[in-house]
Amino acid sequence: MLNFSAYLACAITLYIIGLYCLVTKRNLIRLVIGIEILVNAAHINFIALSAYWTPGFIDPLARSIVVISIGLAGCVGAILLSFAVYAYRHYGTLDVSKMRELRG
Amino acid sequence: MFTAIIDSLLIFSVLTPIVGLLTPKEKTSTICGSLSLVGFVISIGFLLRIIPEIHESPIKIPVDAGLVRTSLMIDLPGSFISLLALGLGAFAVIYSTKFMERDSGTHLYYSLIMAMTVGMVGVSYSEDLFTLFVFWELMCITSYVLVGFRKDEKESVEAAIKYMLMSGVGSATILFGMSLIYGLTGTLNLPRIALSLEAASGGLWLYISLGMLITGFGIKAAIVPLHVWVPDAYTASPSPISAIIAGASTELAVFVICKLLFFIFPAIKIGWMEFFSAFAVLNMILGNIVGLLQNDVKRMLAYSSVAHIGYIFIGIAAGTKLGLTATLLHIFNHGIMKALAFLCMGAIIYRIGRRNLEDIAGVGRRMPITSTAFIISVLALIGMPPLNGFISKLLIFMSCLDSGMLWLGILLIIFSAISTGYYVRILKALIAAPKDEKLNDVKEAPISILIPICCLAFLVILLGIWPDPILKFAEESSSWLMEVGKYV
Repeated sequence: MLNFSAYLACAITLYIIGLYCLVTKRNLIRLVIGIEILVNAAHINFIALSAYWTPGFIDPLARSIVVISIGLAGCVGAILLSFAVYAYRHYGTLDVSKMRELRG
Repeated sequence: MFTAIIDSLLIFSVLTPIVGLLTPKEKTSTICGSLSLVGFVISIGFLLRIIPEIHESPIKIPVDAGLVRTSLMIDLPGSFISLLALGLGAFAVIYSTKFMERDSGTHLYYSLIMAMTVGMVGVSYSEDLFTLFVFWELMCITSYVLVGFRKDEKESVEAAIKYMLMSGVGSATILFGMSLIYGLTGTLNLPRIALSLEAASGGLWLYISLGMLITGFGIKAAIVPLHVWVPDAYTASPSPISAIIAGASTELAVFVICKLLFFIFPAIKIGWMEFFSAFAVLNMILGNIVGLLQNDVKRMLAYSSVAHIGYIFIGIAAGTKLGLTATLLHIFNHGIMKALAFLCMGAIIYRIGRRNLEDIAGVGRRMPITSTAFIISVLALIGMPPLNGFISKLLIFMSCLDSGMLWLGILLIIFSAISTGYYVRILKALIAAPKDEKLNDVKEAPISILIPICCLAFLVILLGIWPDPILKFAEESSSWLMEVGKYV
């Protein structure tokens, strides 16, 4: 079994990748993927910690929060994608830097 | 399933769209609106009935599922905030029966409002981070849809996307912070976390997890570098939704931050006083200065919200019991007066269809009741003495003096004076003589829009003249929050 810090490093790396994706990308679909990466970083951390906290026993609390959170992340993704469809109908593009009705 | 307060709302939330499908289209808004109002009234009735009970001891409702145990705890601070959320939800529902009449899909709209309120009530009652996260997401997801409810308008789709991207990052950050807390303590139950962190003396990971939680909730609470979604989402959403989000959901995020700071992390209190006073100053500067430059009244009110979050943070930065009382009281009062301002602006939009200052100039002669209520709310936002905004601002100032941060109190007064600049522009536009020919055939708003406006205006005046009951409630709630031992 790998050391716990390897899992933690993986989770933090994923979190930073997700933030990088959200900051640099302009396409709405890529931004949705960025948010999913961010949520999954937290999931990996939870799963790794649930096994680490008591050796030989896997805490079901962390597992259940991850299962429910996967469903919730799915909801957020679905709503974001459906709004992406409407944005494409209104603006003719998925580039978020072109959406500038509201400013000031 | 959970508690009668949440259950009754959930049942009506499922029932409303089914009934809405069976009714003829032109009556959907009225029938579904009255049905959801029944749900809200039942829920508020249950809440009022158990408030005397929870003065003695909080009611715990365990949600059992085999090895996993999570729970809700109905306590005083929670019922203080949920009373605000439920009240504003009920007013928004009455208001929407006429306001949303012209839209399609209103049966889903009412269902979403109720689900959002369930989320807010659940967050304020949750006793562990698992329950808190699930209800938080319920509130977030429904509010995304409600902000972008008018999907045929360009700006509301754009605002919903901006809001969702920001808030999605916030939720992920909250989850990451929770996982770190879980790693440090091995539990997600709030009192147990508080007990196991009591002896802790800081440490890098504790600070990182606290920082992540505050960042995540701070996105919803409009802390300044994270506030960019606020003006857009408040402007583009339908007015009753702006009223709920500005009045209850933003305040709820501040409440969760209070709960985390005073309840879970009291041991590392020393670090965050300077931190929060810095954010309070930033919020006041940005909210008040940018607010002066706006021409759109709803945007102006949104920036005034940002500034008021700054005032609330002063109470948190004071870190004393008086500071927490002032914070809770200002959360409640600001919720009521900001909701009133948004509802009045919505009534004007309902009749005129525009929201710029020059377009609404002179509307006071045509819509006297709405404009009087609007003037009352704006005066309360300034902090005029007989109204409720004055009481809580005074308490915040006193808490500054109490904890020896006079400079913060002086900044509060200076920025309140600066903010008067844009509030007076709204007052002037309301009072001015009508110039535009188009305003001649504008009538007073319909009765179902006027009822919530008049009730909220009455509350603003009543809580200003007679603040004792709500002040006592806030004081008791803050002493509950500050004593960890009572919960375990």
